[in-house]
Amino acid sequence: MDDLSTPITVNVAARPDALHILRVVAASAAALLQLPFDAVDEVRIAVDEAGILLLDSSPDADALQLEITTSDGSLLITLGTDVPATEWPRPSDRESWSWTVIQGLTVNPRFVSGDDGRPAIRFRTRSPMKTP
Amino acid sequence: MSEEDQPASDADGAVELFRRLPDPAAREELVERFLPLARHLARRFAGRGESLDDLIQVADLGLLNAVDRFDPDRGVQFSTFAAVTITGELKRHFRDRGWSIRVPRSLQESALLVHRTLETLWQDLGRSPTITEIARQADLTEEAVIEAMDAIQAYSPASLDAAVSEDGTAMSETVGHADPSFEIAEGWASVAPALEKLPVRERRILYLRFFKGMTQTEIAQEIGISQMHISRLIAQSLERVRSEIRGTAARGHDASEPEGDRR
Repeated sequence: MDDLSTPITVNVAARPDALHILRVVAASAAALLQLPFDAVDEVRIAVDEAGILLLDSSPDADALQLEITTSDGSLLITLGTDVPATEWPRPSDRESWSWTVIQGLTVNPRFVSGDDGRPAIRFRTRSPMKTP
Repeated sequence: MSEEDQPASDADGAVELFRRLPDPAAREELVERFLPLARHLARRFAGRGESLDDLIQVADLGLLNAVDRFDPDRGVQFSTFAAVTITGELKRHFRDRGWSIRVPRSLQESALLVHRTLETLWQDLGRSPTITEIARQADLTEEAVIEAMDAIQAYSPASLDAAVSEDGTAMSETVGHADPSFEIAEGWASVAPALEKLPVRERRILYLRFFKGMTQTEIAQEIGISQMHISRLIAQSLERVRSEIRGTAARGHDASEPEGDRR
């Protein structure tokens, strides 16, 4: 399977112990694209780091929303919160360890804002290495 | 004395050497003679989530303990005593270095099966296998493999940094040193103090992954350990750096607070 015909959307409580649900969902989507194990592993890490960063920057959030689509054979992953932020990203977000890791593991990571100012992080997975 | 004349308790020829202790040469000869036994026992514990290098070192330490504790007058062969002591050390190692969080037994078994299968496929294919390939080989569902990935991270590999190899060289010295540019690379300068606290090998792995852009598979080949081990070390190193940063921030916050505000 090379494509997700319907975007995947998952909402979980904005709590650290809910991040594993997002990791599993992201890993499942990566597996559908037949990404190698190490790439799937790093998708999990990147989603985890994005979640950690958002939880830290949005302590008032009730939920985290994960959306996954495919584009050019890779995953486009957006993770956001459900409450608008007064400042997004904060300087400390750009300098955070999580952001540094996300930048190292993903393609074109960005801080984005929803229509009503809800903070989100969007990145693309590395191009899949097709198995022979 | 011919082999036939030896008492049953000295069938492995160790008693004479023990009589010569504390002669360092005798001790060294004892260790060398029974090193193959230690290595054999270490390999019996392989494939359970710990690297063979770690297990060999634990077994070697077990052998040294056995040499130090053996009493040749008790009528027991040293090889028997050493096997029991070394096996005990290996079991204790697994108990001490095992699952860092509570993981259901069925999930532990799946995780270890995925771990073994990944190692096998990695060797056979010469690349990182897909989840589908792992599931097929391990006779698990893809969902079970993905679920096991989280559990695998909860299984802590022993630190090789503190371990010593056969020639007494710290393992960290055998994997080279991180490129100096690691410390000054843009975006990482602020975390340099935290990175400094990582073992050299872990720093090198992060350097290869984040600055050289190498895949986990390529790093595994470069460092000479399994891809799964690399995966776990990356995850653990990232968490250790985060903890260090948070700890530093908290200490800085405490230090900046007026005395009366501290709790």
